[in-house]
Amino acid sequence: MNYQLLFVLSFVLFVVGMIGVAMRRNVIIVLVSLELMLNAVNILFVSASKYLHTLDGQVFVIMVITIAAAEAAIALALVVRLFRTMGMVKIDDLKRLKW
Amino acid sequence: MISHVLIAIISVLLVAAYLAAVLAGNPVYSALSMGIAFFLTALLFVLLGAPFLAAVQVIIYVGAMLVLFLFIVMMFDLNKSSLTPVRFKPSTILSYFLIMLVLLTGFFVARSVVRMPSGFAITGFGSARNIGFNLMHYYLLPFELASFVLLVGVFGAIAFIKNRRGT
Repeated sequence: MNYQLLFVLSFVLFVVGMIGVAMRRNVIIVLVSLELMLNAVNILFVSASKYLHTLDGQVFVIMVITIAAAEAAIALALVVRLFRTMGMVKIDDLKRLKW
Repeated sequence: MISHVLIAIISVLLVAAYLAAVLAGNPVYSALSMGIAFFLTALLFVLLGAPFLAAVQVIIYVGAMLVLFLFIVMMFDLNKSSLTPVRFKPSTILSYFLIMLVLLTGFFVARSVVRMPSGFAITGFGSARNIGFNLMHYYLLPFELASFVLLVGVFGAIAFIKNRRGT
């Protein structure tokens, strides 16, 4: 089993998600990229768990999934609020928060 | 050895699905590509000896989170100009049929080649029993804290959505 490939894979996936968070302007796509970053970390945890023959990594994946679920609920509630009050889902329009 | 080949194929498909999700112009396509990426991750988990996590991945991410994202996207007024009408050309239908054929052959090849020991998902390395034992014995405090985080998340989501003028 080539574990280095799996580790490199998760790094690559994390960076792709990070690019999405940094570059995209649509709030929904930014949140999707955030979930994808967490998923890349899950892949790293599971492959490290198999590499070390311990279950701790898989237990941590459950924790990460819990946090991801809570984060998605909060963030999507924020998006709904944003759309109701401002009528848009573009991040650029949030500049009025600065003053 | 064949599982190495499968892992390599799934890795390439994962990168492609990630790129499709990040670079998609339409949020609907982005969310659907995210669902494909989560399915592929579940396949990877099965091959890496984590059958319980694969099930959890499909149930929570694909079953709950993807539906939540699609719900939110559908609630908003999408930019009408970015939506193209659905066209059912014969080539489109043929390509979908081919994709289904490839997936089916992949499924049968994988099932005949990758041999999971019987009862692996019940008593094996990454089974629900072992993970539950670890969770309840060594990670009891983080487990309780995670449940508390979920509770606070529910409260926060309700507080954000709720109107100030009642209901």
